Amino acid sequence: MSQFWEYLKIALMNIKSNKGRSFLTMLGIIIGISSVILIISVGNGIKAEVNGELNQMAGGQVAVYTDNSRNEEPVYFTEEDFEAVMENVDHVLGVTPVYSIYATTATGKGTFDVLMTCGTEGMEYYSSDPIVRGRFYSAGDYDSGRRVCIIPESAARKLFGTTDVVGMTLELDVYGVSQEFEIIGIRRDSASSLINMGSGGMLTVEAPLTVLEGFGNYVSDFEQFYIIGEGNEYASRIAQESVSLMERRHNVRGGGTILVESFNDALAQVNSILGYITAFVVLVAAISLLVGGIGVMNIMLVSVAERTREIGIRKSLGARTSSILLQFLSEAAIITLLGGLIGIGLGALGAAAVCSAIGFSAQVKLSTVLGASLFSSAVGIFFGIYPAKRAAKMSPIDALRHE
Amino acid sequence: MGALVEVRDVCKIYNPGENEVRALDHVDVTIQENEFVAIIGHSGSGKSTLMNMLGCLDVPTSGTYFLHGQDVSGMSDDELSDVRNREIGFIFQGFNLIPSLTAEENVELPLIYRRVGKRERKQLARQALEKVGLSHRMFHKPSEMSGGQQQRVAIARAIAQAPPIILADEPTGNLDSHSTREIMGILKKLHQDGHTVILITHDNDIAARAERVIRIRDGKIEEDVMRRGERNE
Repeated sequence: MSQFWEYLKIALMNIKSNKGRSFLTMLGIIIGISSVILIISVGNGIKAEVNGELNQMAGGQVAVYTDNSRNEEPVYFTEEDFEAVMENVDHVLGVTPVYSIYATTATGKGTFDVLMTCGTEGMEYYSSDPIVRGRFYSAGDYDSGRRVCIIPESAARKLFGTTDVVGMTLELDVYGVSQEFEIIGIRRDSASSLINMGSGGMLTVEAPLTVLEGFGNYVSDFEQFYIIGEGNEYASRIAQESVSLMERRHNVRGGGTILVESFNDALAQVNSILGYITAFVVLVAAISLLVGGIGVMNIMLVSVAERTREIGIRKSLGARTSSILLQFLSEAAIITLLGGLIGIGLGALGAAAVCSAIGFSAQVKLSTVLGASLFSSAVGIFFGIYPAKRAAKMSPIDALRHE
Repeated sequence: MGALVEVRDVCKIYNPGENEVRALDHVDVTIQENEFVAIIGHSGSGKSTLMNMLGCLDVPTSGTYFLHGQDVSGMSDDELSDVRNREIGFIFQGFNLIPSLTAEENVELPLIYRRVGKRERKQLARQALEKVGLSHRMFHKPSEMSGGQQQRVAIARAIAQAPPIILADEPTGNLDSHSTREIMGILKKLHQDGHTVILITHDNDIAARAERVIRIRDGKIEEDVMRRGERNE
């Protein structure tokens, strides 16, 4: 152990007395490690952000849809199917189709384009943002086709200048047919930028699907509906049970006619894209580390040649082959470890800069930092083996005679 | 009890084959403990080869070398390293200090390879430097010292771990006459303190300070003379 500290001291001293050379040698390692840290930290940041977004948007959601391309008798879902899911599948908050239609409305504040989103009473849970005033429409409202609607806070402010609008009426115009709706609830604005992007900045209104009849737009068969579960952890079970239930009800067991997509699938997709990007950058970084490692090997060979006499002195004083080997290996490892640490610092700074520019926070994980440090010293040890062996194998007489 | 150094019928042949060089040709040398021996010869006489052999830096082509009763001639590199560390203190013509280390750190080197703990190492190094009168320059680097001082550091390094043999290869070859006297005085003192000193030189005046002179020529021992009388001069 005392020998090891000795080597550490010697190595640091040699690096210090050859500052410029050591830095240039480290450069390849610095570039490699910093790009890995940068991309992994930014990737983790993106992952966390997207996870959060998707969770907020569709946490625990499962979409069930039909593929009728190979069926002679197409399969469509009906209200009875939704009720069957509610009754037979556990941990389900609500089941609803989602049907969107464009409308316009005119208030004292002007004329606005509106995206009307319609479904069953189960749509209350389709968005995770809570109702802050009034209530969502009930099964009774749905069955009787009452013309009621729920609007978000921001829409209320735009349309009326206030959020205290429960009980007021809103006149919605769909393809030239005009109907009056009572506003019965206010939903909190979504914090998710993806959802706000999805509505294209339009005002949104939620209403029972049955009101569409009044516009001459009767919908009873659906190719797709959503099941909102109590949480993400139930999503895959809900998906499985719902598919077999639908297959039983429509008598299409097996054929791939009824399909599901859950939030987890969407997440897996995002993660796999990030995975590809990470793999690519890691490949580039690996090449940079390889080149950097060869640089380290080169400089270590120079160092061994320059210090031939020192090696001879050490050997004559009783240094074993392994002592000399260890001395040069630790020097190579320290060069690359220092490069790695500088790379980690630069990578973390770069990740913070990139992420703050995009608008979310980078995640530098301890495991990444430890991994990068270990890996960079491993590069040094690997590429240091050849020069160190050359030093260790020198004959003390030849080494002492070296001028 | 056997002799400290016992070289039996040793040959060293370089480039075996057509252009072979017989650097040592059936050499026998025995050195007892606490002798002060000078090995003298011209360059090319084989004295450097003999010194490498005695210093366990090299192994003979044939013959045997017993050091402290131990057969050294067939040892591996690492075993030779251990023997050098334990048995021999080297003093070289070119001082051979490591330029980036201070005097104290240079003296500590053989102790590090002997796995002596840090505190004891520092103490032994300081004692050795005191013996050569350099305790005031402990933290200076070799480049900040005169040739004589550097050689004294090298002597301190050689005696720090109290090896039985001090092997000095032309220790005064790079020094002026004043420093030469100083260094020879130290070597003589070491001998008086009980060390076995082997001095390799080409200089008759230097060799004359030893109590025994072995003259080597063309790889053979030409003359081996004891001069006990000089000891108390």
